[in-house]
Amino acid sequence: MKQSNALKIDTVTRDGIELITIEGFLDAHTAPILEKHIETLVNSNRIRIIIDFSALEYISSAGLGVFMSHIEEIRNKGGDIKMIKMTDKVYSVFDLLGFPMLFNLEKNEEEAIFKFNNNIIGGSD
Amino acid sequence: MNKIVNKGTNKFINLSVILLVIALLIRIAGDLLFTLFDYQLNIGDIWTLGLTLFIAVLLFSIFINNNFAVDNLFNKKTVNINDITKIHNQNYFKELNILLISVIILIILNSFIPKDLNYVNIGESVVYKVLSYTIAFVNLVYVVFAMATIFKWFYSHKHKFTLVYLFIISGIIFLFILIEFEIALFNIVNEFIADTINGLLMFFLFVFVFFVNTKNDWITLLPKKDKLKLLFLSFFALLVFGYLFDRNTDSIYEDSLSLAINRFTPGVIGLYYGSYLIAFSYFFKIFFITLFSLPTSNVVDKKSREFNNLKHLNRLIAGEFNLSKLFRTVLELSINQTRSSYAWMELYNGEECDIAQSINLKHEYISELNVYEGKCIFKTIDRPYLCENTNNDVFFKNIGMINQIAGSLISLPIFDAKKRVGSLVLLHRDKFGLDFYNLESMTAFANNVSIAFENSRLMKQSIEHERYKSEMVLARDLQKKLLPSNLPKIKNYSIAAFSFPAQEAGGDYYDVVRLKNGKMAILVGDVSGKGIAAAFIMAQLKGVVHSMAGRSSTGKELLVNINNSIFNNLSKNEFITMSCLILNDENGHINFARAGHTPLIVNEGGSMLYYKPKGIGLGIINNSMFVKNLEEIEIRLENHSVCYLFTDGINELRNSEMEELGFEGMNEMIRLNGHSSAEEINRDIKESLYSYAKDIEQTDDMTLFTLFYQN
Repeated sequence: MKQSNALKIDTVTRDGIELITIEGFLDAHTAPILEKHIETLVNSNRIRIIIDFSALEYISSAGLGVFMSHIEEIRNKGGDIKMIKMTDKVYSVFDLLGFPMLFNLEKNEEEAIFKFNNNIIGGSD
Repeated sequence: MNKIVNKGTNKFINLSVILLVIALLIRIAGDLLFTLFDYQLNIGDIWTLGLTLFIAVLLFSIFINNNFAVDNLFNKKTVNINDITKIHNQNYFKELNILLISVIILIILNSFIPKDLNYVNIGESVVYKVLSYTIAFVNLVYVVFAMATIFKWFYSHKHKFTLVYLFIISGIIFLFILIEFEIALFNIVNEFIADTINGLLMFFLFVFVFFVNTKNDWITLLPKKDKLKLLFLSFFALLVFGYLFDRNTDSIYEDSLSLAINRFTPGVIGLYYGSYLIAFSYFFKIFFITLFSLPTSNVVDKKSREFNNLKHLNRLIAGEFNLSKLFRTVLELSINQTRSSYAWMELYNGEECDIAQSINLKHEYISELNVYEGKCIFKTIDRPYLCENTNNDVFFKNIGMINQIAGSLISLPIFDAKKRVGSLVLLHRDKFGLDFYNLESMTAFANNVSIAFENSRLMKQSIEHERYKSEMVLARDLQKKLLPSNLPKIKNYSIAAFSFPAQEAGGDYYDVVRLKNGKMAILVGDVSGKGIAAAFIMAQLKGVVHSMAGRSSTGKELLVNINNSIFNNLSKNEFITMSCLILNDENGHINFARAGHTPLIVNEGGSMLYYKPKGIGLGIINNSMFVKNLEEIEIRLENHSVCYLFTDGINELRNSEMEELGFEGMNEMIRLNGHSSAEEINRDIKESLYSYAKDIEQTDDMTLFTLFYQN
């Protein structure tokens, strides 16, 4: 049963940090939406990005690829994408692929902001 | 088949002609013989009568079978089913013309009878005899021919009783002959009674033929021109056959022609007047039907034209996906049908109204014409609309441009399914030039155009879909080719694998390769992405794997080499997950490395062990990071343990309640015993997977590689 489930994106800018809340399903069909969104941010140099995963129901491998698309450019410009509030299920998908070694996966916004302020970038140990 | 029928018929005709010639020869011989006797002798007359009837019947059968007279419509190779009526009418007129022309020839021929022919010189002079007999014979031939033609006309509009009626008509003629013969030769019955019977029979025959002459609707549907032609011809036929009937009854004309006919065909006079009476009755009805159908000719013509136009349009709709050609035809037919002056088809694209096709007006002019106060006029009319008088119409009387060139108009909306896509507009110069009959028939046209629109769109969609489907099939086939068709035999290990591609899925990969040091490496991988793109990557991957295997001694080394090779060939959001299981020896010592892939599950005597060493997917990060974060572990297998390498299509498999199978669900499936080979295990697992997710369309590739250690 093919479902075209939607992805909702909300962005709030606060203290120079973009907080993106994603809701719903991130898969091959909806990934382009998120990718375009991130691209827009990158083009306007808003490169300190935190993504809130608490409302994300499902992610597929295509969805994972979205984050790899712009991370290099973002990090070269001095920013980062940090990910917070993943459910166990979503975390396990990222974990299998080895993302914890590449990104900061945090429990909440504060920890992510802390890492931004202290220039701690995921995957640079 | 036509050839066979024709051959048979020709054979028959040939036979009949031969018999005819023989009969005539016998007749002549007989005549010569009987001239030695008194011609009043009955035997001679009976003999002559018998032969005459025989000749008549032969002639009749020749004419009936003759393809020239009646073209079997369905045998003709070139008959177009749409022209059957036209061909039928053409044939009828052809036969009618032949009938009437030959009767004129007959009458002219009859005038060549010697005027001084009498009983004496007909017996004595050979010249007179030959001449008179020849002419009499021609009369016989004609009368039989006329009957054959009319019988065939009846038969071509037959119904279930037609043959019965024809039989009755023939029977009456036979009665005539009988009565005449009786009167002439035996004179047993009172002549007056015989005459009365004859008269009644004649009356009956006339009425009978009149009423039996049915199924003549085709006359009503003739074009006006043809109706007038038929009227004239049938009237002429009435005159001629009336005259001939009169002439052959009751010998009012005691002249040389009658004499000749009587001597040649004694007693068969009934055949003549009976046949001419039938012909007269036939044409009597035809004449009056035609006469009474004349007033409705115009309407019939109009409706006929409409019907044909619609038929033409329907054929076009079914086969024509080129819309502009279709529009052109529709406009031409519309103009033809309604005698309009101008017509066009406009299509709506957002706020624009574009002129797709037009007749008698330039597109630029129409673009000025169809806009009023910035809006497309006809777009606002969403149902078929007739304006009988533009000067009097609430809407159009203010639009000067339109009521200058048109006195009346019709506007028809065109839809594609529920969406309004355009309009068909007809302008007529005169007020009241278009009426609601036109509106009715034009609405039918417009509906056809809407259907054509929809068809064209659906066709395009279908072609796109087919192309997409074939792309998918191509990808799937490619995937299949890249997977090993046979797995090698390895001592103490039973191995088996299956891979079920989904409709839209990325490439799942598995393989068994030999490393530099001879050790066997089992690989299972999952390419991200879908369709042809994923299949291409899979193809590349296979190549890389096989070339790197010979340069690697461990699982970690192999994966690092692969990552190095493909990293630059994948785009940023493409990656591959892969697991690598190395068989160190024949005693259950294995190594395992995992690049972002699903964990290794080992079923050890009923306990499930999960191995998830550290590792990032291939193609995500460059080598130093990749190497640093890749862990290879050693495992010692217990005897009869089963190792499972799989892709996430299996643990993420959903049932009809959208519940994922998960590792828990997999536990149940793989907690088996009593199997003797990996193949058997896989067979059972396949069944379990199938029943878990039956009726659900597969959304991801499912791959399972099973390694059964049996020492």
